[in-house]
Amino acid sequence: MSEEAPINRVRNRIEKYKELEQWDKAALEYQNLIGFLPFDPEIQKQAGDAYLKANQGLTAIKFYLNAAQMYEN
Amino acid sequence: MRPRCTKTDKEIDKAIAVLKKVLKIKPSLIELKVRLGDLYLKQDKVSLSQELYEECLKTFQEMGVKQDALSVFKKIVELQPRNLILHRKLADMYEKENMPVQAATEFKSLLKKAKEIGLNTEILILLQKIVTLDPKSYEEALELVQIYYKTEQFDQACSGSGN
Repeated sequence: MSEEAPINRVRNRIEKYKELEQWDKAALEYQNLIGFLPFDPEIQKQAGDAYLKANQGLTAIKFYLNAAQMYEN
Repeated sequence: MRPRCTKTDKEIDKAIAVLKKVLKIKPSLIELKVRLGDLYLKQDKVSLSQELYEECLKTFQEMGVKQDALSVFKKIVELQPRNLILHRKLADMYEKENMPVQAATEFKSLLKKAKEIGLNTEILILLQKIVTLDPKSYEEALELVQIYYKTEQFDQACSGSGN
């Protein structure tokens, strides 16, 4: 039996929560994904989007600013 | 001098899009508008950049955040290096904010232009300003003394800067 890679498990959970529109849970999973890929600006941006949809604007800003910084550098 | 763009336009576009999102959530983050202006400048979108800088300058001035206003105004001046009125305004702002070295630097740049154009009265005033603001401006001090001698203002020549 093949074991699914941890990063894929996180990605799958994100997709599941997004489909269910459970944005707060999706946002938390994005944090886990960032643990695997800390310097990917796209993921930072998507985390920002999830937090924004979860009505957590200030946290969204934090991730958006991380993303902008990474795009710039 | 404009910063040389080291990132692709696409990445800068993405950074711009993200910053715009942030500003939509929190428009009061004026420093982000300055950053946005910097990014437009990297893409050579000078008018967009200037528009943002001017908006930020106005807000900083209204808020009374003088150092930030100065820093943005400097960016505006850098966009129009030949605009002597703006250079003069920046120099006056530095002087008013008790930043003599920066003020002297701006006045020196104005002096250079005044010499190119041959504005003799202005040259004298600028030299006086520079020597007063930065007493270590020996070259300008010497030039000033020479002008005083030429114009037979011996008392002022003896006192150095004339102040």
